Amino acid sequence: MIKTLQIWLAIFVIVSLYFYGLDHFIMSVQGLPLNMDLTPAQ
Amino acid sequence: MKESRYSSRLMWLMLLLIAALGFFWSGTVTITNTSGDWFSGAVASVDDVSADEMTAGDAELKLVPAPKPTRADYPDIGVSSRSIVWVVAQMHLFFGALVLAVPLFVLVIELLGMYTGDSRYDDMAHEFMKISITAYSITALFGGTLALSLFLLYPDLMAYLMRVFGAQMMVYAILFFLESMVLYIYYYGWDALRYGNAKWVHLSLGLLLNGVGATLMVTANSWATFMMAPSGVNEVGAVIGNIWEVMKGPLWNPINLHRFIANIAFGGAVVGAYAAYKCLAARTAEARAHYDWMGYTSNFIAILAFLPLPFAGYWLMAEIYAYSQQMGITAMGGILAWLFIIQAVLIGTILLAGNYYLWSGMSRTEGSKRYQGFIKYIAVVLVICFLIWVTPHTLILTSGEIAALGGSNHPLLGALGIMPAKNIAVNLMLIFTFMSFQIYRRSDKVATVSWEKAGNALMVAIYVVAIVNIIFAGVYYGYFTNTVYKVGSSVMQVVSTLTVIISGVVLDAFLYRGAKTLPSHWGQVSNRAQYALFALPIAFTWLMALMGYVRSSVRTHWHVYTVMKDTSPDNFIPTIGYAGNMMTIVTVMFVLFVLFIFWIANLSGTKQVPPYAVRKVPAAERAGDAA
Amino acid sequence: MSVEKTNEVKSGGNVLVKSMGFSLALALLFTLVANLLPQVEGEAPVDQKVDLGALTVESFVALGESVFTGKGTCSLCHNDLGRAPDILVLNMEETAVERLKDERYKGSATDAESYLHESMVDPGIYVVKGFGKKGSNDTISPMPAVNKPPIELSEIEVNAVIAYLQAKDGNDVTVSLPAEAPAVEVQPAESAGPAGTVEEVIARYGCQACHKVLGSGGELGPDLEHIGKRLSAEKIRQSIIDPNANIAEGFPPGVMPEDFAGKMTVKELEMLVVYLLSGEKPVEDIAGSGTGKIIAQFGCQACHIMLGSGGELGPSLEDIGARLDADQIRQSIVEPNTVIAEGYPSGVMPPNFAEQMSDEQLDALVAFLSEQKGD
Repeated sequence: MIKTLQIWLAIFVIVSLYFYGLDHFIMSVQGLPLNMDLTPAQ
Repeated sequence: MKESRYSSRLMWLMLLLIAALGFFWSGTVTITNTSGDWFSGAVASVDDVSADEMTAGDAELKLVPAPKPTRADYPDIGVSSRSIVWVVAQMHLFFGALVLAVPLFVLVIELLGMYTGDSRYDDMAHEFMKISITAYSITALFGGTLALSLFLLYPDLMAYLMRVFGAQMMVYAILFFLESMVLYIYYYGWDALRYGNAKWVHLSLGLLLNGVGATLMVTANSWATFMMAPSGVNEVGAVIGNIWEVMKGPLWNPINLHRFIANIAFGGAVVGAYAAYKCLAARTAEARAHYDWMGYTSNFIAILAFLPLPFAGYWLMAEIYAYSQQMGITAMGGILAWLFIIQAVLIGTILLAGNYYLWSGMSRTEGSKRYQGFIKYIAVVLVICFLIWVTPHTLILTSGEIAALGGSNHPLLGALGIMPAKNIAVNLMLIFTFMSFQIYRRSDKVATVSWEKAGNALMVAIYVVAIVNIIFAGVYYGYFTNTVYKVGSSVMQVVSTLTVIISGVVLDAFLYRGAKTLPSHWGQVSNRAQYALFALPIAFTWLMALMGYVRSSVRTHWHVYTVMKDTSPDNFIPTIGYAGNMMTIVTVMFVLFVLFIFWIANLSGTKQVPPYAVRKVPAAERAGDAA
Repeated sequence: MSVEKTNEVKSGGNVLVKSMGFSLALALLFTLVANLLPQVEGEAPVDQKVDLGALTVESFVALGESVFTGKGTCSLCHNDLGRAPDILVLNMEETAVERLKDERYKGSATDAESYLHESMVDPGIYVVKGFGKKGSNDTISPMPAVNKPPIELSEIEVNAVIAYLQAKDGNDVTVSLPAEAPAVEVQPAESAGPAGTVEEVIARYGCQACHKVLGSGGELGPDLEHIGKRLSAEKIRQSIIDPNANIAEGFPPGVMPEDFAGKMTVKELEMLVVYLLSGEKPVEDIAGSGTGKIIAQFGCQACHIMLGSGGELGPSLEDIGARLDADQIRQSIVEPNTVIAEGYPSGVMPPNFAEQMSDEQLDALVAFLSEQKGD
């Protein structure tokens, strides 16, 4: 039970990090960099 | 039983084929590029000759600007010229799309048939080609009629285009001959080249057929994109580049990709209707099972090709904006913006019909009970997203008010094009459609790999995070930042959706490797589901007519944008109602012609019972009909 | 096989009707949606005649506003959606002055009016921060030059927009009104067919914007009221076709557009030359007959003296009736180079007049010329 929960949590964290990186990457490719908190960097 | 495993192979092979064709194109493209000069009908380059060496007279002789016809120069045959060309061109495009698309997936299915040794694939591929072969003659007939009507009704424009494209038109004609020859050999040689090494010859012919077909399409596309965004000519339309520079305008490749994908979706939908019709009319359980399976495969092709289409459309639109912001805004924020409401209705219809068909199809397998519970939630999300999408947020404007504001350019309408709420809705619809797709494909399988739980968790996580990301991007960047970020964040949404689709396909391929399959029963599906297969081609056809009209209309009162004005009596943008009526006319005409094609396809398989045999074997007649 | 027949057998005959009915109903549903939406037609820019004779500052500003929202398509981007600076909110007079002071400004404008003009016809000279093309770091403007296709505003329209931009915030309109002229096309009158009278020619090409002619006009170019006394027909023609070949003293070169000849029909050009040379009111008024119109239309007087005036490239036709009979006259028009009057070069008279004339016109002209006996 604990192990299943750990797996789910770990996977969610990994996927979230992946999408977080993806957001940064996509916006910077377009010349629209983001701050750490995903707000537009001016 | 085996089908679903093969359909995943079908999908992979299709991707492979697309990549192969892409390679083929880039090959031809390079050849055209390096040798473009020699068959260019135009002046090599004016820049090479310095102004001193060239007298003014010479320059004028060589650089002929685009003609400037007056209204009187357009022949008047008593009927609106635009309407005639509209109908004929649209019919040509419908059949052209069908004819180019069918051999593409026929080749894949044929390959699959050889790979699996299952002759049903081969027979189905052959049957698809039977439809394509009649459609091919109709394409050619409409093509000829279109050329004649263009030369009759728009002589100055055609004279100009002939001058610009020169010898390329002859190359097109030669390709057309080649296409016909290969097509006939491919179809009529099917049984002669069916087994062993001969099959490889046949498959190579299929590849050649697709290569020639794709080249034909991109050649013809260059005419349309030249008219939208001319390249290789100077500002008055005189040719200053070689044929390659003329063809390779900024919109050429986006249109090539968009049409290529859309053709597959369209072709799949049309043959799906054929299968649905045969399924409904089937007199034996065997025939019903066969056509149910054929309809399923067609729907699979249509929806799979349809899912990436919005992204190709997005690229096209982005290139239009990059080429001319004014043109982009005319399409998305000007008078044509309302057409995107109808587009939403049509795409919504396609997605709902496609989903409905998948859900109904789940009755075929016993394993589907595990997923039945999801359906109502998917349906609710789809319907809500659909409603958000079609809600025009600017209905405060009556047509009278728009007219008072000068018609085409009201700033408020621009909000439609980048409406964050709509972006969220569209992406969610695509994701949930893919979810239907995925659970359908999972419904007859039980995974046996050891990491099944982790794999499922990963899939769930990707869905959840992608959906959250899409909503976050839409709401945060859409409503609380400026336009640049608003537009930029839509790429983020699009990539999230693509991530779900790609990772879903890849993950399932590994997760269900060596999976246990549960029994499924083809033909065990409601009749109502077959009507979803009729809804698809109708909506696709209408959608093609609509988007083709938008693509053509963004030129407004120009034949060739910025270079040759349209001064004909039809140089205005008609009302949406008028355009809609035209689209229904072409759709109904197309349906009638397709019906004719189906009838012809049946006719070739119908044998009259010899008179002497009638009394003896009445059952033979029925068997013949059923086949 | 026959055992497995299901209830589909009965519905089999109806499948065609049902599926077609379903398809048609769906197509009609889409049509209905299309017809429920607002029905607007997008007209191509149409000829919008503006009477500059009666033009006031207010109507000029109004013209500018209609260009701003209409033909100029400015409001597509210059609105509150952030695509481009929101001109309607900004005070453009003040904004222009600020931008001229900006060190990034590299253009040649000196005041608000010239800045606004420059920003329209050459938008790339100064790109407002944050509005440059994506990735260009505000060095390239996404805005098209408004005097080029596809927008193609005329100089008068550009000035009208400037007037509107100045007036909308209560600033003084510094841009000068276009000099009095009968009319201006918002859209080049390509489809209007050739002009019939000299007045129409002068109006169409806006000569009076710069020249005094027909009793009124601007002073940018030389007075044309008595040009015939100073220049020959050829010189006048040359000055229209190639205006910079000879510049009248005291006037700057390069001002007069060089493309008039390209836009004019030959008839229009000849009509204009005849009029400018003779300084007379158009022939129509003198002759008061259909023949006068024909003569004017085909510009006979560019080369021939008739009706009391005309050029001397070709023989005078005042007494032609005394020298030639009707058939010879007809031949000289239809095939001008078969018989050449003594002392005149051959190959000068265009051989295609007869093709352009209707039979009635040719007959009328021959009849008229036959009566010209030099009395």
